[in-house]
Amino acid sequence: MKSTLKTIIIGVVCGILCNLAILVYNEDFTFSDIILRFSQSQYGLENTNLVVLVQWNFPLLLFQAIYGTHIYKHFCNASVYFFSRTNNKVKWFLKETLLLIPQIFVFLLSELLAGTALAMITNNVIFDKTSIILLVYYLAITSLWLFLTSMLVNIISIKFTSSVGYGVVAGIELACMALFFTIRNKMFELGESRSIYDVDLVAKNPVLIKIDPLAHLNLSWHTSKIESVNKLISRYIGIDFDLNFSVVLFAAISVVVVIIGCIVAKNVEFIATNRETGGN
Amino acid sequence: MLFKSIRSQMHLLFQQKITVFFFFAMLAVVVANFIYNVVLCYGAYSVKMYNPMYLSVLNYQGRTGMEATYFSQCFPLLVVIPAAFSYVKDRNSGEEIYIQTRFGRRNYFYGKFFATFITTFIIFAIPFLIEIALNCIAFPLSAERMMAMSDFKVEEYAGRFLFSTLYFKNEYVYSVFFVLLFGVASGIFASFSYAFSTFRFMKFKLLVFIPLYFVMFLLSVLGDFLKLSYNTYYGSYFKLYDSSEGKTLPGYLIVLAVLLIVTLIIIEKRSREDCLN
Repeated sequence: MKSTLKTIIIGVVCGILCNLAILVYNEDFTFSDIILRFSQSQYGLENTNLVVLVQWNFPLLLFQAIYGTHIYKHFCNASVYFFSRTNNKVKWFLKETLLLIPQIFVFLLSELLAGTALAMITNNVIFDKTSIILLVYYLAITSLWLFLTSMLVNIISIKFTSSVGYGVVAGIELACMALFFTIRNKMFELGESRSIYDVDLVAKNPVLIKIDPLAHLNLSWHTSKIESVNKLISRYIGIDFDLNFSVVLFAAISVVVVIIGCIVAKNVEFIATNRETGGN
Repeated sequence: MLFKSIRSQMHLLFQQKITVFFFFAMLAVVVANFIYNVVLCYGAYSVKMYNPMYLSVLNYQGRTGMEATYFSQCFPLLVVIPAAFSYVKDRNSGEEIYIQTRFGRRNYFYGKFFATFITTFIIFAIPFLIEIALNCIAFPLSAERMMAMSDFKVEEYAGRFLFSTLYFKNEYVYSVFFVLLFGVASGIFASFSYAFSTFRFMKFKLLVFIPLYFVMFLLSVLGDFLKLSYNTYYGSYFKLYDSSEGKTLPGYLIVLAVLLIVTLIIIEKRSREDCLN
């Protein structure tokens, strides 16, 4: 209960800070617009300023830092005495993994709802049916991403120390963000323009876009077979980037990460000194 | 006593594998870039030769521009790695008490602050100063060609640099000054992370990464929300010839000064805790 309260407070603070810029507007927003804002849709060919990615990715990095020690903390203090009482380390590991999932949903929902409540102060927020489908996809993709990165931080921390674990994972994420900036000319270009406001945005190299994991988080770069959702999201032509593909990809990677975690947890050497605190 | 504390803590810091490895990694990047530039420009005519300062690692307008973007994007994480974990390590292993007995609590905390600052300054400034020296020796100083920009736009382009008046007077002094300011900024960032790591909730080393990144996040959010005409993205301030608009030197110095003051306040408060006299 205490940790759920902590997650809610952190989610609310992040949601309010991230979405602070919406207070300046005085228009009608649909709930889908707010969901798209939270899924980093502001970064694209129109706005290649990296500060947008830093702003919207910060809650994810914060969650990975706080829950990156969710399983690792049991390996730190008095780990020998704790694990002498667990008969099956793999079963314990899987149980702890399942305990992480509700925290992820609580965090994402509290962040989104706090941002929406903030938007309601100066704007008019309309809840429509397509926003529910979009909400389901947003929760699925982002929660799977948070799950697999937090588990990765935990697992690397068990093998090495926690600073190495977080440094590697956050470093890779920041490098992916910088990748968007350095190869943006190879990824996107302006297509033909029918008027000043109506320019086609073309995705030049779909394979290059799909390789970067952070592109899967950005909902507005996807396409969808559901017509009403597709009207809201597909911003770039020339790419077939189904939402279901991202969900399946992240789910597959999460399963692989959990299997690796079970192997690591089973083979931990407790005789070697604990590197984090130097004791047992 | 304070000086002995600083000296012994720096000695301890430089004995750590990660600190030494990081310093040599930075040197390796600089040397690799230098060798690449030498191979690239071998036999080129002096008229078509690139300006030596444009071949630096920190330059975002270089032939690929990628290293500078990656480096400046990951900079808040990188700056914490060499030296800012020392307090958490001491506290978790229990050695904190023994070192404080030897030097006194106040000298311990201030010594660690200076040791962190000086170590991070050395690690981040010295490789780039060596690179400036190497580039000036190997490439002709009279070479004028700048990559990726045509000559007639120099004034408008260079007017957006951080201290553009210094650039127009002498670009070599500008580069040296930029690297020194960059070193001071990295020292202040590392000491800020160290000061925050003295709080009780910082049980694990990975939480030391967060305070600095949170400050960068807050600056970018507030810049967006208050619709400031200044650029509040941290990456544009750490590239040598960055041409994004709206960079402000007073803003940069104010942020550094505020971080330094907060650091000193936290350390002073921490050093007075539990004191008998």
